[in-house]
Amino acid sequence: MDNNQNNRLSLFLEDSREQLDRVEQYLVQIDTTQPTPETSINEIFRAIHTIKGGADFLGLDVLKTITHRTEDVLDLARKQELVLDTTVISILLEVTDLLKAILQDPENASIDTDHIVAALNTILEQDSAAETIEEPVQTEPHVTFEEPVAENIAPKDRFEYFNLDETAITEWEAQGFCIYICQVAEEVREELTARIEEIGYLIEEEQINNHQETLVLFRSVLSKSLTVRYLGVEPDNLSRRLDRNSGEEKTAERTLQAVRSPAGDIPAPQPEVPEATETQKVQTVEEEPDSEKAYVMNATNNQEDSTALNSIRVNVNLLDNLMNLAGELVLTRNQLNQNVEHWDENAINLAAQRLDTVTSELQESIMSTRMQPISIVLSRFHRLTRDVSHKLGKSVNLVLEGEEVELDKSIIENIGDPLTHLVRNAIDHGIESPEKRRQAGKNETGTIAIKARHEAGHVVIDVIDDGNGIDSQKILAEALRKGIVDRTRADEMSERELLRLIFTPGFSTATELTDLSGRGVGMDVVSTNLSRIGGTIDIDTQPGKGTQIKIKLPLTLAIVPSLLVSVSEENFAIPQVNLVELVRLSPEQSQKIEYVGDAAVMRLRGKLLPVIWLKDFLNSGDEASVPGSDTSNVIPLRREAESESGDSPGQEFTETLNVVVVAAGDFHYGIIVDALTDSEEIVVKPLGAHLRNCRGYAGATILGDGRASLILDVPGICDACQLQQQAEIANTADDLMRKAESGSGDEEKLLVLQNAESEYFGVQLAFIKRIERIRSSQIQRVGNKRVVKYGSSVIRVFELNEAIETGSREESDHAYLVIFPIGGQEVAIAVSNLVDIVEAPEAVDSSTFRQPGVQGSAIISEQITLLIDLFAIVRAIDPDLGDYAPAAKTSDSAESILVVEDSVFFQDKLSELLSGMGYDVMIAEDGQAGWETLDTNASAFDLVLMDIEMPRMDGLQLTKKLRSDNRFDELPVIMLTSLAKESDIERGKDAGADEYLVKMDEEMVRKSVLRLLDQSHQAVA
Amino acid sequence: MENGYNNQELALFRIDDDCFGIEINQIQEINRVVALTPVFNSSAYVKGVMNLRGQIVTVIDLRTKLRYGARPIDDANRILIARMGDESVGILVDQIEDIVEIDPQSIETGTARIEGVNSEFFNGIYKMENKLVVILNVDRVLQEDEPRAA
Repeated sequence: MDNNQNNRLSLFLEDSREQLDRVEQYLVQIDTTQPTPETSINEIFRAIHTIKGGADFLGLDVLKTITHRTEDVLDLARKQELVLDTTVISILLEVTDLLKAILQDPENASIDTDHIVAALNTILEQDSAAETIEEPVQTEPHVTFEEPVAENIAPKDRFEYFNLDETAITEWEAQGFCIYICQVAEEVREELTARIEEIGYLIEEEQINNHQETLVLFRSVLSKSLTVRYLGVEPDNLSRRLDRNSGEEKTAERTLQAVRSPAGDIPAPQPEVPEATETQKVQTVEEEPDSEKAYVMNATNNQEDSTALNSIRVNVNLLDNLMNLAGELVLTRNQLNQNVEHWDENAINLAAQRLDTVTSELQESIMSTRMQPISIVLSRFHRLTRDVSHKLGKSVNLVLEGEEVELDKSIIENIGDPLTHLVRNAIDHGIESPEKRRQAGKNETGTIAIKARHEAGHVVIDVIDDGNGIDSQKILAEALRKGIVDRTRADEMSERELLRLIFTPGFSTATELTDLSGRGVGMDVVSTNLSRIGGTIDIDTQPGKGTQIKIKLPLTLAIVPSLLVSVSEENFAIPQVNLVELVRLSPEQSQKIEYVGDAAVMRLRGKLLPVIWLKDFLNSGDEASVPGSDTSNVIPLRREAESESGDSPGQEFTETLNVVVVAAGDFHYGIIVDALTDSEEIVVKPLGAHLRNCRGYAGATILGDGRASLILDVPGICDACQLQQQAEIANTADDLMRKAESGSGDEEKLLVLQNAESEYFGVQLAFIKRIERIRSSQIQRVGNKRVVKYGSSVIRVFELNEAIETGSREESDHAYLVIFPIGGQEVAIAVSNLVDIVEAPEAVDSSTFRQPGVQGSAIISEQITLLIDLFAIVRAIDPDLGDYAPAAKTSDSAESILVVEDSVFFQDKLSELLSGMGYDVMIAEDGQAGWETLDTNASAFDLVLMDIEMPRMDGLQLTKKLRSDNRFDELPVIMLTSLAKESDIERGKDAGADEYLVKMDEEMVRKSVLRLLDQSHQAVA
Repeated sequence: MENGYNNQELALFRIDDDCFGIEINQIQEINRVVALTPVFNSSAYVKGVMNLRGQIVTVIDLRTKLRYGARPIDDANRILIARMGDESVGILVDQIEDIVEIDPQSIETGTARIEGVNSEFFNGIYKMENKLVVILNVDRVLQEDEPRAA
């Protein structure tokens, strides 16, 4: 095929696709409107006819056969001999699908057309009986004055009235003649033929329409427009043989006015087809298929593909304007060249200014050529709605608003699939069945409205249905099942947040995705795809009343206003759509940067915002540090010093920090950069294949100085750093920790923890140094110990069930560490959840759950809560650690006292008293524990206070045991009892106690302790 | 070559003291090193990106790819622009030496070996009067899915 032919073919295919889109719309319209609007049938007929004409001309036989049959069916309908009921319309819709498929690939012979042709034939046959009676089969136009509609003689058809001598015609055409047919009214025929003879040669005449009109076949060298002017006829009445597939001809066909006089002064009552006039004004601009904007949804459906525009229509005025601007640009260049040659600075400046103006205008104009009305996408939803609602037995009315709103072509291409999914979803899940709607007192026909509008530099598309709404609890259940949220988090979530869970990646549910709305694509994918083109999605629902989904899109993608920031002398662009605010932190404000675990956060207006150092992020790639690689890729770490100082919060910074607060969807975080350079409109360019897997970049651009610069991928960085997760951790922990901090010093407060399900523990807040949230995987096993790397140090982690009888920690991807000091080092107990901070309960049951490490139990918030002794637990698991503690203290010159006491109340009382005196206090719960403690570390204690009545081993036994062991010869022992009977005192003294005191008498206890310790010191000296 | 001559033209360039050759048809142009923008987090062999008349071109550091040590960029460095599918890719070399005409028949295949370098990167070796030229397998060098250097 030569170029010309090729060109014609592509024009034809393009045009036919548009025609079919219109046909589809009209068919859907007919289906829903009764009685059938005549104008719609006419429009469909015309469109099909045009395609037939083109197919015939281009020798596309399959297409021609189908369109011919379809035309026959439509003709019957037009003559009201056939009622276009749903069945017929369904077949006709199938025809359009088939035609589209053929147009997609005209060479493909494998497309099955037989069943459609058969279906069409059946319709024709059913009707033929009626037809034969009423009128002869209409291959002949049967036109009367009363029926102007029937006068439509398509330009191509005009030629069918003549037995053309093809060889002669070909010869004439080769000589440069054009072959025309003019349709004239009989009364002006002679005048016209006379004129024709002046400009060409008459070939043949043929009377039509009951001899009211004549078709005149002639040849002339004049162009069509000249011929029209010279003959003084309506352009529609003149057909040129060669242009049967051109735009001109279509106009002729479409406008199809009744031709009763050469002036055509009685226009038939045909509706205006908007495109008919447009066709004259617009030209088709071919565009390169946009390969970078890969179709995110991978639609394989032909229907979907049709929005991927290979060519777009551009207003001629706009093209003229572009041409003018291009001219201007050339002039300005000349001017610049000239002025540079003479180095006329003034003139150069002027030229530069002009260049600026011209470029801006050019940019604007070119952008506007890419702007397409959203109707391109929206119009196909009529068909979709019809098909889906029929299939589901629902009745749905689609309302479109704001179809004229324009968006950049690349965005138009990418919203088709997300919108399709939303509409399908709305019909499938939103709109109820007619019965249900009736029961609910609603109109049986549901309504889905798609409304597009401009809003503050964005385009907003609302998809609203009046269906059943979305049950947020169902969403929550699903999200919990999938582990997208945990229960605690979920309890804090607002209704709106719950709804938003459906956009969380990984939410798509098998149960929710039916054949119709599914296609394996859930709302999360819709959301992801929209965010890929810079759009956002929001959802609002009212149970029983309906759902509103709001999509916000940028107008264009190609040119992006951006903030330029620099890090280590390199510029990076941050698209302004992602920008929220800029925060400057002076060195005095450096305490605003805090650390939660390893993550830095910034306190901004009371909320914690995760922040990253762009430098750190850029250097975090493991590959940059490959041996032998050029070190120029590595920026010196700004936080080098920090790795030594670890993670101490409130770190000082010596210079001002620039924090760029950005938004990845709804999530905000801060990027710390060296400097803010500029604000510039940048042109987005794709990165090469080698960098495709390189995280953190959305593309590259070229800056004013000609250098390439990278564009930061704000959502990508967020994902790569798991910032969202960190923020969640930071904020949960922050709430509790702030509560804890504010309560520090108040020993009456208890932190309530949860470990296994329905097992709650209370810890005295005063003992806790801090709380961390970590990923469970951060807990590592080294030997038989568990540790967590925490900054540069290692912290030992203990599990509650290692020490006390309780379930093991709930499996979860995160855990909380309750960190407290013991023996000069920090250790942690891991729990699965923090529950609350409460006042210490008044009623403590110190017997029921009593065991080492558990002081007692209480009912807190209607839950049985075990009050645990962190130190005892740690000691129970690793006695070395427990012994280590007092040893460290003794070296500190503080003396250590062991209190052997089974009552929690007295444990607290005594330890309070003794630590108040400046001693280190260790508690053992009974004589046995006391013995074990002493036995393993004989020299650790300077004094022992013990109760007499204790389980396992009482005070008397313990004292006897101590006294029989010469390691403890020098160890003073004070016995305490609530009963200070003479006999008891005697028994105690017999056993070897140095003092026998009444517990409640604090003053006596104090004096005795002081005296005995003093004595033992002297003895040692 | 199709024009009847059986000769190939080779662009000769150097890395350290080793001489390499690229068949000239495979190169689009040879550029000075103007402004290279480093790309952090990229593979080590990616030297950066550059602006080639409005197109963003990835520049591959042949030194790194062939496991030569790092060396600062100087005036002698050149970037050869080659095609990889639809994309232009730059190859950074130490120095361009010459363009010579050779008889492809005399390229010895399968013998090119430089210590420590994957011989897949080479198409063969060509003996000149005073030196050996290693013929680069451009397609292989440009392949992006090179396993990470350990």
